[in-house]
Amino acid sequence: MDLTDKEYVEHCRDGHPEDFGLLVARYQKPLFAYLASRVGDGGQAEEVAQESFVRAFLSLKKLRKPDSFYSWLLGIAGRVAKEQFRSLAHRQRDREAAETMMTDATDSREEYPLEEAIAALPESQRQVILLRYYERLSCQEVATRLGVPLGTVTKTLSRAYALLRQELAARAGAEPTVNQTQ
Amino acid sequence: MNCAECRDNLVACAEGLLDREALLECQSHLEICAGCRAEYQAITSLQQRLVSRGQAAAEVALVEPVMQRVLQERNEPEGETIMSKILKHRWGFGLSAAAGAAAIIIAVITTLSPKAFGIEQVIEAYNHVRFLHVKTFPGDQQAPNEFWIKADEQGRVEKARYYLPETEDGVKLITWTPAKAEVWFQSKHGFLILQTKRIEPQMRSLLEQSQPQLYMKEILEQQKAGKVGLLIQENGESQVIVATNSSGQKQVITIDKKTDLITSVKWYLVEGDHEVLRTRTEFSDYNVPIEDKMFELQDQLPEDVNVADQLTQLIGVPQGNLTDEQAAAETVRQFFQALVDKDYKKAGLIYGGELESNFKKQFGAFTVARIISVGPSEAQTNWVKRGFRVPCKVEIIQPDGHKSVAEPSPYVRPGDDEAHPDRWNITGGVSLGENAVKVLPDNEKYAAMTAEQTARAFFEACSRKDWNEAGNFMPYLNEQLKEYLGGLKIISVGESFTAEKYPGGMAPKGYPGRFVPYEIQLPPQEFNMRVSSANPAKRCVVTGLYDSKLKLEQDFKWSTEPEVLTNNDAYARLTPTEAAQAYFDAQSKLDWVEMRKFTSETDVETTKKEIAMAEKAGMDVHKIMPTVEVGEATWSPEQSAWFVKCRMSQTKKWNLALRKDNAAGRWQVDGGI
Repeated sequence: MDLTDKEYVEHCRDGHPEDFGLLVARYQKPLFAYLASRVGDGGQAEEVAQESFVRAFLSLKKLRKPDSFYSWLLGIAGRVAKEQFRSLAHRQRDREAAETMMTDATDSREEYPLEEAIAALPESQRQVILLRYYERLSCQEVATRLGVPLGTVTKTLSRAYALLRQELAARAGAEPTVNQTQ
Repeated sequence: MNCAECRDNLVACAEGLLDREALLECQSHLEICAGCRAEYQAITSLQQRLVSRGQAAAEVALVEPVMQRVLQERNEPEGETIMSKILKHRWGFGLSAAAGAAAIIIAVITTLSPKAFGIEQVIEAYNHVRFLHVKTFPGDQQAPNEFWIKADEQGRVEKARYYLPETEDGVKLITWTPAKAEVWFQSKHGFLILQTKRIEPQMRSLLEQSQPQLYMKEILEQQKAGKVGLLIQENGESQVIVATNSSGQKQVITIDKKTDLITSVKWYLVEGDHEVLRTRTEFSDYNVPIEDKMFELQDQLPEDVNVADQLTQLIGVPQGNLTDEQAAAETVRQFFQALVDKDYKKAGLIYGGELESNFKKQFGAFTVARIISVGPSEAQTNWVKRGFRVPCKVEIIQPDGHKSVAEPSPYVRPGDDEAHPDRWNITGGVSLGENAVKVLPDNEKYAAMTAEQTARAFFEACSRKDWNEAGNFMPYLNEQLKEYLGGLKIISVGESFTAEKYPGGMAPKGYPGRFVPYEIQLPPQEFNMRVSSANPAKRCVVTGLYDSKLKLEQDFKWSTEPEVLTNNDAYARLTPTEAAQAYFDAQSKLDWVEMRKFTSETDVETTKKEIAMAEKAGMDVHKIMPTVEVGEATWSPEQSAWFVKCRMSQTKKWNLALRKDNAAGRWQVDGGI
């Protein structure tokens, strides 16, 4: 049975840094998908994701709500991506970087909140979504992995879909405010 | 099957988990019930979106590289210590490994209801903002950006004007209406006319931010969802709302209590105990009419400005009968051919309507001699649906006559919905010189060198401070590295080897280069230690590390005051210079007990960790320990402390990373300094 984020975070803090690998395994794909849609380049997204995990690890003791690990990680990743962008823009004085920023602001804007919306789900629902779509397990495999009946998986998915749709609709209708930097 | 039963089964149905009978019942119900059908479609559409996100990330494997770095870096100190100075530049790969302090969510301080804030009055007071003047002060800018906005009665932006004094293009003035945007590149002497919808959302966002009823509603929603903490303060004639989110971003919104209008918003980034002001926005001149001529630029243009009109001239390359892949490659081919022909106007038109003069400036310095190869196109669906990168090779002749091969990989996409979706444009990635390894006039001499010979020649050039020659081996030699390496002495250069992992574990996966072990005597580094005896034990202890120009590098944090030692008098008699010398002596002997008498516990612990990490990475710690000469001490009345001049000499024994996978076929220093 997989442990919760909170339990992994606490293990890491209690002198078992190797458990951080399990958090990386859990969130590497959604984090990558999130970053790929923000920075528009797979290689760069991978580099930023790696750096974000390392920073998250180094700051783990400062995480006050261990059960919010994933949304906290997305916040770190957003900052690393910005730093990366600035350094890229500085290095390459052509429009490639500006175009990437434009991509961030326009083309994929409707896409990237998906991982943020997933971060807002209750942990049990989030785990099912991650296993089903990012680990690409079938519902039956998810059930076996979590040690729950198949019906529980479909019901959890159903609840998760409803919350995701609600969250995405709310985001689509509102410009970012707190997240906005200019 | 009724609606409730059907909806219970929708996910199982979409997942193909229903048995035949239940499936048929479900399908029959969907055929007759529009509500359930819409629900089913919403679920499958969300599923498709999730599937595509999962597919995009299917190949990602970060656990190993992350854990390698994590296990290695977990002992890294956060600030710069003497040991950090010693070990400086040891990795030199990839992103900065500095431990970015993570943000912390601030606890929700108050639960706020719209009523408590008096939001009804705010809505009443606002109704509509038709005219608005906004200034933003980004943290790294001297002069503010300014915006003037005119909206219609529904709040839709009708007209806008931007003044952006510090952009990559220099000073820019922009006016916008739904039908036309004009961009005046004042510094570049260019004027671009185009149609774009991209500015409107930004304008509307500013308008929305100026309307507290919308703004506050959203912040309240985020608070309910636990995403922000709110604090409300009364401050004379203003009401101040502080909203902090889990990403460590904090907004401070100031509202004029008399008018219920926002006057300013400040964005901070909270990092650990620090807050950094990133941007400040000021809202003013609410509903003060703005004259229409403010939204027209053409009257103000100098006569000789270069005008590019995308409204009346076609940009990009037509798709014709080509597939997307072919069209992308053809666009790139035509672009470079235009550069070969020095037809900068055509190149500019393919580059999204860029001004001819800009292109001439960017590419006129050297000659694009010929196209060697173009493509094949690589789809970039993560960027935009029909986006491509087209890797190509072109031969260029530098201003000094040198030939080199550049390998740009331009970004190409069709025009967006608002322009010409059937015409393809290049949007970036056309740099030709800066990043390529140049083919030198005497390139053969360098290309014939082995990795070992290259490493030696590089160090010899650094030793002579011959930066032109050193630059042939390491193009990105910055001032910091020059200071670090200039005047070094070579002790030994060993035989090269390959390694799957860089010694120390920091190399990118599958590193294509070789490593050359070396030992060098680094040039002396000068710095200052701050020493103070203002403590109950009256002993001189170190309290800070400063660079040679007295810029603070690290403040030593003492959690408790230095204790009175059993033989305290002997230590209290030491001068600041002697105390600093004793500190370095203890450090070089790894005598932690003695070191503790002169420095904070944190400094001792961090040094121990650094030493352990260096040992783990295979460094000979005793060999790398520096010799520090301690000089005179100067009293600083402002700091009430002594500054002791120090000069550090050290040897470095490590592995230089070199790679040869470049067009010039020369070994290049890539890291490990």
